[in-house]
Amino acid sequence: MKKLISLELKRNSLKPYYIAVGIIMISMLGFLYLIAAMPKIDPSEADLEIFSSYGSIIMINNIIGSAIFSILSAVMASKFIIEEYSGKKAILLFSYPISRTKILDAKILMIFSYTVLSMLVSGGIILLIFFTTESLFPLCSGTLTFGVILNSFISLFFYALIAGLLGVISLWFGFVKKSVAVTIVSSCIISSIISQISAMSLTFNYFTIIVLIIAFIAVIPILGNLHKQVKKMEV
Amino acid sequence: MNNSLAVTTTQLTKVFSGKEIIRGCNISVQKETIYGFLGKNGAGKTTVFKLLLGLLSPTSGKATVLGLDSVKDNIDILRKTGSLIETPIFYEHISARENLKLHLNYMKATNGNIEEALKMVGLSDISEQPVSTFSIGMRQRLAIARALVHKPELLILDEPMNGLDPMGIKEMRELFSYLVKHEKYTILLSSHILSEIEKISDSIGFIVDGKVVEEITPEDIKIKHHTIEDYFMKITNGGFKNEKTY
Repeated sequence: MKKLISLELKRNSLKPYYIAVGIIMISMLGFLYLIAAMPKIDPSEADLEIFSSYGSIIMINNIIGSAIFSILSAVMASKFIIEEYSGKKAILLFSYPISRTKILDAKILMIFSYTVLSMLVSGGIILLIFFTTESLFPLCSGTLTFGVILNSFISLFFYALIAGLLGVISLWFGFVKKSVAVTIVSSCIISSIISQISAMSLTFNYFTIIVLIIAFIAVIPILGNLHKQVKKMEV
Repeated sequence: MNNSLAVTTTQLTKVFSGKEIIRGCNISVQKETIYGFLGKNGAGKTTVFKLLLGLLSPTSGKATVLGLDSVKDNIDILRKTGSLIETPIFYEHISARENLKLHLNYMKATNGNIEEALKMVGLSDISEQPVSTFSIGMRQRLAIARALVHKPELLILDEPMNGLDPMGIKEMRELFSYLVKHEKYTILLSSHILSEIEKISDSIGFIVDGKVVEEITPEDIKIKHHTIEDYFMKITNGGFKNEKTY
């Protein structure tokens, strides 16, 4: 599997995705400062009270980050999987003396790992920068404690896993139709729904873990079905 | 199975959307020979090649390649076979050499020789260029190099002369003859160029509407039917050349 992933990386450049992650990171950092500063911009607005605690603003940031990275994952899946399994490229792929399911698994694992790791790294950098400036010049009126920082990183970790799993779910929709458009549109719809559900509870609690478990359970039959489809494929 | 046969099919049939595209096809390819596959567009040449390589599954019948079952032993067949099916696909942003290197890795081949393969097809000088800059003829040469770089026992080449200039066609003809005579390859190829098939093949299979109607040597065609063109027209058009409407 390791060898197959390294071969995937040799023949596909990840450079555009590094640039994408960089742009996402800068945008998310700006967004985090914006929501942290909102109550100060308009103190008379009572609805902005929600942005006055670290728990809430970090949760919003992680939910939106998760949605963005799950869409990035779908874009990668479109390039590395949907495009390669539709049309004549599949002939080359199926001419290798390697199990079809192993090649597919390597591709899915590569995209899942890239999504989770890039969200962890970029999200981690954002949190470090934010908490450093907050400890010096606080924008948010909440109290910054070690518990808040720890919770933020744990929440980031869970939402990074959710982003990776949602990417696999949208891949399935695209794979059934062998369509790049279906992959990306389904990813937008799924991430919007999950973001809405997640936003129902804006403090880190078991709710995030429930979303993660549901996404994980959904991915198991999806992987099984993808294996079945790729074994039966005729090109 | 006869040990001297590299490929055999028995009543091979493939149905697409209720229509029989390959109909009880029987072919026999002797080891260390060149077998030319001739047929009109849409006769089923590429489909038979895909069935041999396991890219398609037969609806009924059986195909045996190098003594292995095309469905059950597909991975082993792919390891021992080099193929060029339809328009060749490459990783465009990397060089010809890198493409072959990647191919060897995927084929898990340890005895491959990239330099030798590039030299054989006349691409040594431009092997560092990205494939995206290659002409159709150069891509075809690279596809042939890729099919043979891992030193397979059998080459399955679908229209390998496509896009090649007359010099290229002659070079590939000589290369294929060399591979069979000196490297013990078996080559199964299709072409639209009747004269090329006649010059290069040890035996020729004529496929008409998904069925191989005859397997014959070029010498026998000359003796029995005068020219390959006359014979081809006879069996594919029922003896009539296409009527001109102009």
